[in-house]
Amino acid sequence: MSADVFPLIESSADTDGWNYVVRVPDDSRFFEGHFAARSVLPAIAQLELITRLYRLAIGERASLRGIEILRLLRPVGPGETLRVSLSRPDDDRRQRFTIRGADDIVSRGTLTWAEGAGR
Amino acid sequence: MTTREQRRPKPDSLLPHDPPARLLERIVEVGEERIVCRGRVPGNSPFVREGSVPAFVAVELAAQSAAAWETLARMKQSAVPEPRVGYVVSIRGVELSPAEFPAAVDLEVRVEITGAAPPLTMYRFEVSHGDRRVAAGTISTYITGEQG
Repeated sequence: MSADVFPLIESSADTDGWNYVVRVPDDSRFFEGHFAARSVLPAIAQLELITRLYRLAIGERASLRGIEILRLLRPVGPGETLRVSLSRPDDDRRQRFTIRGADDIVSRGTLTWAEGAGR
Repeated sequence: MTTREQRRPKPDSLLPHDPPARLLERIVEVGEERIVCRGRVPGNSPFVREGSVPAFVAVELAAQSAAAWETLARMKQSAVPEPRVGYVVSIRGVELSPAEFPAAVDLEVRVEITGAAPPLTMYRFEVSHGDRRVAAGTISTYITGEQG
């Protein structure tokens, strides 16, 4: 994964899916203009993170085609370390994911990938 | 742009976002429970790859339109309300098609309130490029007391 976006610290895979630990750089471009008073990672940057990790997992291009549900439980700030769990997509290409912070859940949801994305 | 559109407040006075995160460019129409805006994802956005933008970025346009509507609604109570920081707390039932769209193209954003229990509000949205729908679904936002 591109080192200047979400540097990868750890990764593993098992029959259920993939697990990653990444860092959100203090100077990530996703914080530019969001916001002056307090830097907060935009919600859509979490989708960018999931997309990049899923592409890394399957080794091919994958496109997000639907967001069944995404619950954002707290904002993410600069310098945080995130643990991301991705399930293997089911027959309908639906994938569950969870993003955790140091001791809490940041977000979780279910996404749908375009046909052709690996399982 | 119509004269009425020219008279409306600019998004930079309604949102806590600054470029390149601020995607809204103008307010086209405002109603009691809806807003129509125009915007674009600038070429220098961190979400742009080889001139294309993932369709999920359209959700941010919906969120910014909702935030603009919230500030305009507060204007009815206060002459010069400061934009407040708000968070998207859930995104549901979103269809994205195509998977990407070009950066720096005009996008139309239609947002309608479907429920509210302040500071939580739920909106249905649709984002289009020309006559093609890019994204549609529902977002819920939480407006804080923090000024942007």
